[in-house]
Amino acid sequence: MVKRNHRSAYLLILPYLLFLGVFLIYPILFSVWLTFHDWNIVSTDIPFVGLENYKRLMEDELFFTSLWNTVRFILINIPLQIVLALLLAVALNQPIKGRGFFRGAYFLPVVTSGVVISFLWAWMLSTDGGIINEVLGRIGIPPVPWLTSETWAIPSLAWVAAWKNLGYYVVIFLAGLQGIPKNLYEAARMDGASPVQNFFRITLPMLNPAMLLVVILSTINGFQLFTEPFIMTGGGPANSSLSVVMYIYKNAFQSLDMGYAATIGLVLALIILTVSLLQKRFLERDTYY
Amino acid sequence: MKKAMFLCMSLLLILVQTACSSSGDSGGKVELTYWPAANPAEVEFAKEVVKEWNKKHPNIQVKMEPLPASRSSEEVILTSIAGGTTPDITSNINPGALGQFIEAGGMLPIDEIDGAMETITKRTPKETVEAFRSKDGHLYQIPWKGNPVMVLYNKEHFKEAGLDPEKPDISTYSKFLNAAKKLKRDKNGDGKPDVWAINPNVEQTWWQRFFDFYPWYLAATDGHTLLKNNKAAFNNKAGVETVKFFRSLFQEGMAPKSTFKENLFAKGKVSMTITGPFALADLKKQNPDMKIGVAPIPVPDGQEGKRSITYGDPKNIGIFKSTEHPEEAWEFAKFLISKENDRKFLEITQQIPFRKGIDKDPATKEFFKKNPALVEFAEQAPYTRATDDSDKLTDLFEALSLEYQQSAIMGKKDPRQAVSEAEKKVNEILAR
Repeated sequence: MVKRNHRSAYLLILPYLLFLGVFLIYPILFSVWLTFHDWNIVSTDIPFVGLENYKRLMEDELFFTSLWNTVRFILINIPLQIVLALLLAVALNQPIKGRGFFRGAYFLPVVTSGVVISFLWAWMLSTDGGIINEVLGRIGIPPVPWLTSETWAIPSLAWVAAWKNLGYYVVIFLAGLQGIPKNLYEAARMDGASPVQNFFRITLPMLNPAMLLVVILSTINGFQLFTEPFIMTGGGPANSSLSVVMYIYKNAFQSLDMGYAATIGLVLALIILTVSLLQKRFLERDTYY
Repeated sequence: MKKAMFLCMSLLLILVQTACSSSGDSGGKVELTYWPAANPAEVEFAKEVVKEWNKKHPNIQVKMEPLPASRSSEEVILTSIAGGTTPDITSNINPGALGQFIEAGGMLPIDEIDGAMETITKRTPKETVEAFRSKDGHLYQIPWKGNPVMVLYNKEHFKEAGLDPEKPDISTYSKFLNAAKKLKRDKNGDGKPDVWAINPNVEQTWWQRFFDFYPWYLAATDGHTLLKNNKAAFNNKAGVETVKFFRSLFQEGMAPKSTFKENLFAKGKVSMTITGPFALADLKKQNPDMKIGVAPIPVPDGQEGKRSITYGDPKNIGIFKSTEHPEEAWEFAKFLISKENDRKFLEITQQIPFRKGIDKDPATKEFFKKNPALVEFAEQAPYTRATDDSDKLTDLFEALSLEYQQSAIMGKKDPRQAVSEAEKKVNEILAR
């Protein structure tokens, strides 16, 4: 009798299990299996190569370059994104005129295709004749090679990505802001706290859960950087904006080296997991008032 | 329990499989799937041809699906071979990647089809056809059309700079650079050039080198491709001179070191551009009044005299081994390369079919008169090369491209050092 019940329960969750199995568990297991093999995507001959792919990864300068590029990107992108998103969220939380319009406007880039946005920014950031250098030129600043110098490529991409994703994080912060009890601010006002004190003593600590979420999400997002360099710089110049995921793509679909691409993918996944856990451990605080 | 799960899983898999592989083969009717390249002009041509064919052949219906868009069609075709989703026929085979398709077991040998070779050699010069034969001696591609890469120039700009717009004197490196110096101009007097001489691409993307380094190298070596006996063969004077040439253009400010997402040539912001005939249609749309001249790729000083060789960007027709109807597919291919359709192709896409004497044909005379820029391309077409057929072509060009970028565009590496390091990297890739 008990067994029978179990069976129908399994049957009920079968569609979900199948979905999970086919689109998540199987690909994960397959890619782990791939890291020990050499496969060119079309051949039926898939030789076992042991730890060869891992050994190659440890000696692959270009992998470490791409990792460093991605880390540089994250270090610029995340602070930029958080500060801007927080400022906007606080502003949009005030009873200002046209609040609905602004909330919509800042969210628009999030739902716009990354390819379109990359094209637009590549056009605006062009060294010669791009609108940004044109404006800078008016105030006497010589043209900056935004996308064509090793110094500027990553910061430019970090800016574009921050601009695109801003709206998403603004929404998370807005939700967090609205969850802060009003009586805290009332009490603070009674005690004569200034708006700045309000922000740093009440708003920021109470936003900790939202902040943690934003930091972790944008880190995961940042490590997966692909569209912007793919469209705007092609990873250049001289591989200075080649991201890890772009390098995976190149190995998989240009060099047809699926085993090696899977190895980089797995290592990237482990890096993301570690960083996220560390962030959770060091940033999470319980704040009660 | 495990057993039940396993059963369900396999049932589902079987269902999915049969759903995918059921092909349109009902009531004696044959259905062929045809993938043309996805650019608008070629799709328009394909649409017309398919419509006409379907009207004439009620029993062989062709379904046209533009090649799914991606960075390069090679990736799409390879994944379709791997995934078993190949069409019957495509007209976007890049000879440089064909080796991979054959190795993956994807291509049908054309020379084994009755009468195919005769039809093909009647249309295309025999040497050109033979050059497309694969290492195993079979012909897996029907030579179709090419896009010789040449130098397009703005006649108006040449006149303004005091250069001869009809017979431009840019056939050697020093003549070209001299002209380029005059063409770079600062029109609004802010101390920065606003019209450049030429705009070679600055990105490291591998296939961009098909429009700068590669045609220049072919011209300088009279048609030697980059590899010989599966080894890099470009670390020579021609290779170094080519990098030096582009380095001068960039370092002396004759070419902008920027990425652009607009057509600078159409906007009159550069006087010359390196491209193929496929660019003409768009140029006409963007700037209908521009007078365009076409010149061959320049050669190193002292080598001038005969027509220089360039990259031909050939795209051929291939039939996939997976087809259930090879004969019908060949019939359709024959229709694609018929005289009428070659003419139609030329007129719609402004690309050059590999048909003997197409520029002398009375039927195309009127067309060439209306499109004088195309005459040069049609004349250049026989003097072209493809790329080496290597399954590592992308990686090779990628390695070369990085060194080229550092030396020619960014001016960081000595050209000699860049070329020899590119040689080293290419040989490493080939030995892998």
